[in-house]
Amino acid sequence: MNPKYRRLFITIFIVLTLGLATKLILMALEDNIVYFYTPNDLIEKFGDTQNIQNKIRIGGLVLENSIKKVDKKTIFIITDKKKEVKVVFDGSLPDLFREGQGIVAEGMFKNNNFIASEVLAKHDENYMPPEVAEALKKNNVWKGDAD
Amino acid sequence: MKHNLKILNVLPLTVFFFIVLSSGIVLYQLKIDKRIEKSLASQLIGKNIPETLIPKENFIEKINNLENLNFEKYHDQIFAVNFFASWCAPCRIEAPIIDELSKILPVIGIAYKDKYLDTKKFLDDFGNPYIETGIDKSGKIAIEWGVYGVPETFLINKKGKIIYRHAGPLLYSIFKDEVLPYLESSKND
Amino acid sequence: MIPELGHILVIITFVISTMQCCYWLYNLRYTNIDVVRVLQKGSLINFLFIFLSFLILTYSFITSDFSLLIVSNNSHTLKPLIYKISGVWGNHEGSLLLWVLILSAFTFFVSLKDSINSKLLASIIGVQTVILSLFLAFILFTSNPFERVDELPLDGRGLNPLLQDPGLALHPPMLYIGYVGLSVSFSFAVAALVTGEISKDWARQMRPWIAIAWSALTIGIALGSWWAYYELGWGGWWFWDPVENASFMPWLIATALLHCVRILEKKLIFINWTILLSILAFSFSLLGTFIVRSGLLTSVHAFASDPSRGVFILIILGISIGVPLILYSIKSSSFNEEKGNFDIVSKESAILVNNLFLTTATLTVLIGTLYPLFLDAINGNKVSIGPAYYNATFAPIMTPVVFLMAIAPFLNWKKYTDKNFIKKLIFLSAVTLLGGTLLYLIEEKSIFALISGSLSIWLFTGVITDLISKIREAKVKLQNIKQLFFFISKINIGIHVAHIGVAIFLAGVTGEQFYKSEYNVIKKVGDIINIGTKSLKFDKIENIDGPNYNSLMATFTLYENNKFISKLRPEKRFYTNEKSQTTEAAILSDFWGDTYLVLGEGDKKTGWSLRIYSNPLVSWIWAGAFFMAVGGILSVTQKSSRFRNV
Repeated sequence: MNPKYRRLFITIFIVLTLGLATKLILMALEDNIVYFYTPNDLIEKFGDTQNIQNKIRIGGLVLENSIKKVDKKTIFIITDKKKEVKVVFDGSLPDLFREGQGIVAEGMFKNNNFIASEVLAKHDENYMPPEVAEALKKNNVWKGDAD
Repeated sequence: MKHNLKILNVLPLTVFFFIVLSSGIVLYQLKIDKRIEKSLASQLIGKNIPETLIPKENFIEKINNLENLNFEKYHDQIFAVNFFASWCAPCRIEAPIIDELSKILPVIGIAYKDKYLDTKKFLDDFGNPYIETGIDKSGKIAIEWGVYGVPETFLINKKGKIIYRHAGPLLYSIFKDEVLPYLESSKND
Repeated sequence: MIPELGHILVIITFVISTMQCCYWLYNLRYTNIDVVRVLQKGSLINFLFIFLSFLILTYSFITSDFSLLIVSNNSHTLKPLIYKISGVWGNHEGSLLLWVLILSAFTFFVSLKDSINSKLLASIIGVQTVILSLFLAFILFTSNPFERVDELPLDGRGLNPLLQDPGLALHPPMLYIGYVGLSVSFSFAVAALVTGEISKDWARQMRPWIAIAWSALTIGIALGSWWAYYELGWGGWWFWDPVENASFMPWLIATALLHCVRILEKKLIFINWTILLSILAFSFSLLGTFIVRSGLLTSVHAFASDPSRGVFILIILGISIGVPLILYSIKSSSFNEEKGNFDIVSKESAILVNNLFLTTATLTVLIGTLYPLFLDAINGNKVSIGPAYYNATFAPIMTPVVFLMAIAPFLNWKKYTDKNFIKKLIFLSAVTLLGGTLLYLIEEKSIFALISGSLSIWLFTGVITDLISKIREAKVKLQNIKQLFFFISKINIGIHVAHIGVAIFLAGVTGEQFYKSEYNVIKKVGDIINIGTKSLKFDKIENIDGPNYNSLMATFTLYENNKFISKLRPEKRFYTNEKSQTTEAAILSDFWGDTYLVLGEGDKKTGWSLRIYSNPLVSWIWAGAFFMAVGGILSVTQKSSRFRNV
């Protein structure tokens, strides 16, 4: 093939492929992003949990004495010391899961219960998961006590 | 062919430049965030210390039998609260500096998420600079004080207000350049 | 005093390598063999000194010298010897020293290649040494591995028990050989830009280095994934975790480069593109190294919290990516390309399409990895991008790559002349259709399962067909070893092995993704669990003491069709020193798949919660990766195409 045509052919092909890829990426970004909230953010932003249709992540501390086992399910409460969310999880918990531990749960709301598909507590014991630490910081939980 | 700039050949550099520029903006914004964070920390500064409840079986040195950490005892003097844990490595590094600090003012130790025997062993091994030591078994106290991780150190003035806070190990340089001048300047508050 | 010696050695090497860089730049216009000789000697000294310094650090770890900060933070007297050694690179400072060691080794070995013309060779060593100096400065100013502690701790803090694992002990060194190995092709590219010299020989000399780096990277990534599979106890093998992506992106680019450079060996076309890919591959390696080490990916804020490191990293990235790109924009138009026509149906076209799709696929991974970071930095929204995104973008883009991988080797260079091409294509389609139908009849799953399974069959048949026709064409009689080697080099067996690896890998992925089953049960001692034709009997549960942990170990007996197969022993380990707990899955692997058993919470009264996965073909994933790596190594032995006309 003549170099001139070859160049044209290659250019068209590249543009087509990149265009298709961009389209795919934009579609995927729209559908598959999971937002992170603390319980307080959640109530502030949505008011009622009935309004939440998407898959989301909730981060906070596991409330003391809130872990219950019903059949194979684990039920516990995530708190950011302001608001609380009840989480139902049907699966095996990570090794670091315990009361008072900062964790992140991913899942969806169903009848005001958060049905988690995944519970993460992958981080070192010295520190909380960064998102959780930051969110707690932002909510400024200790500020209220001082007044 | 001669040396001439072609648009296509400059494209990679342009893309790279754009990426560098945007990451620069991102990092700059983080710096601003940091400033906001600092001002958040200073909201805590000047506030009264949170009410702190430690059950008596969690005291290492049973100086008093009260359920509250008796901060009133330290009324009319500046004192420090140091969050630490036996399992935390940086706490070992800062141990000698806390010791240094305890020669100037009383330091109360709060062992974050620790066990009685472990804390005791830690104090035996690395020296016990604390006038009183309580264990924050659940980590609740740490949350009330806004502790992000151990170690963390707070200075409280005569009126029971937090005047200084340092997250992370108290290194000698920080002790010398920040804590001592702070104490010097707030003597009269 | 010994650790100080290690520190001094690093300082000396930094001085020597910096002087070497100046020497190279000073003599840039008049390079001859004497300049090369000096640079060769310098590279040898750098390599020896860094090696010695690395040995000293290893010695400190073995003897548990807790006066060193990183030893006290990352080791423990009770730790087994092998993990004391792997502790050397299980932390930021030590891993950087390993990185530099590998870089100095590569620099030394490439400097011995006298067959490269001296002008080019001097610049290759020069560029390698610039990178070495930058990294040594980074180590000396921000991450000194030989830093002492003031107070001697009684014992170390131990290594994270999750990291006490043979797979993970070997994972970073392999990965680093891959990352750093790509610096050689990078230096070839920059040297070509600096000297303006490019030839077919340049491409021939470069390809083995890419192949070695690519193979090491393949093994490194596979080890990481294997570790995640059997250690984390989540039953998955690839999570599209940013850390995984950081190693996957250079792999994708290196794959594109490995193919692209073969065009250049035949004819001087697409020079610029090859140079760009070489620069890009190493840039991604650097990003991979830093992004993981700086904590940028766990949180942007962690990155900013240590500004000295952050700024240094930006400087290194700026110099080692920015400067070559500036050179590229000035010099790349001065290369003389040969007039090379080729048909649309030819090897050249196929490789170009492969390159286009591979780079686009890299782009999707890059966007998936960075998007959450940018969103967080811009408006503070925390998002995560999971496998769903990659299934929707990466998978469709890679599908045509695998499709073409089967037929591209049939094609000839330059011209479409093969009369048998259509015949082979019909044969391939027939076999795939048959296989696909069988797959559909055995167990009906989603359309994606069917596509992915059929693609694997398509590729497998394609490679075998090609191999057979190549063997026929080669017409070599195999009578002794020498002829065997000649034969292997003549038919490019490396390509076949690597492509078969992809087919095996894809079969494994298909099995794991679409045909796996999961059971969640609570059982007491004595209970029996039925899974298909297999059954598990819960024998006992007991406490067992390990070297530095206590373990709760359950014992199960696995039967298939009432025939004894094996005992399975899942554990929960409590590491006393770290006060942490790990879950050790019990895995029974055989050719057709794994039975994966995880022990959960529970007690005697209510029973123990158990998770059982049946993962068909899952070990094919790593077997496939192994084949790819072997193929890469074999392709090094392949004689350059100058000697052949195929």
